[in-house]
Amino acid sequence: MEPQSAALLAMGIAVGLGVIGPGLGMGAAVSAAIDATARQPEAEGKIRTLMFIGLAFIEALALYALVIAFILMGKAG
Amino acid sequence: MEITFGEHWIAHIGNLQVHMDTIITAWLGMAIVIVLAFLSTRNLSRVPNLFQSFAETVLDFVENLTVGQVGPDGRGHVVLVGSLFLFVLASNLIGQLPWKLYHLKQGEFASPTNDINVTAALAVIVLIYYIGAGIYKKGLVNYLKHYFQPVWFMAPINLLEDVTRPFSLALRLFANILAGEIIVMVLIALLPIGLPIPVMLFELFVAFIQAFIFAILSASYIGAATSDSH
Repeated sequence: MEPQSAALLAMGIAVGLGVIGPGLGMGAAVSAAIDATARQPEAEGKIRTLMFIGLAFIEALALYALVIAFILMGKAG
Repeated sequence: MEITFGEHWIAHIGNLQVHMDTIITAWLGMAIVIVLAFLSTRNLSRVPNLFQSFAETVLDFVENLTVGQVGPDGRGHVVLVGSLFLFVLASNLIGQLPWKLYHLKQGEFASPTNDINVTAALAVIVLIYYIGAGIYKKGLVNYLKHYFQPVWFMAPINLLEDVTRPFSLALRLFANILAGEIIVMVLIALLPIGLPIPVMLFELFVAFIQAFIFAILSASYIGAATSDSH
């Protein structure tokens, strides 16, 4: 297999597998935030802030996979 | 239709390569922030006009954010956190303007934050600032002691955090903005009328969120570096 084809294949696999974990993680984080808000609606502001911070961390992991895809794009010709 | 990204208008200054399109849009972002700040602070009065009350709202927001992360004596850090927030917000939003109307030979005008150099520079500023703030507040020896803090063998991990924190700050902002631009480019190639609009609206939201996240994480790192307990 030539390097260009391998790079193209690797781009797809990297992003495809790389977003499974963060996707599950974000679902868990938002679900916990909704549960907490339902339990105590007056804390909604703080919970929303914490949720956004948590989501940013988790999303960063998915973006690391995307950056690997960007790097491979140079090798894919 | 051919979709390329990552090309910049490169000018050679001395024997350095410079991304001129990024520099122009970054200076435009700075100019917007500075002009707004100037307009808001002329003729300060107890009964604020539109600009001043807008500036007071923004200052309130950034100060609550900073003091929430650093503690009540962290009001001095509002200067850096506010500047970062406003510059990142203005830069992210500049990319949403219709720049495609102006053609460059190489590359195109877009958010300055879609260039890893800009976000890496901001992240390095935050790194130097929080280490400096920690050393200034606690003294060099106490600051170095806090690397051994919960247990002594956590020292390599704490040291590694000093590498991964700016790295993740830079990469998070860069990849969010660049990925948004790529998605909009792909959708325009598919169906230019109507299809990109929800994604472009989402990109406005992402601009605010990423600026907020950058600011609040910077404040959190400053708070961790200047706090007494671990």
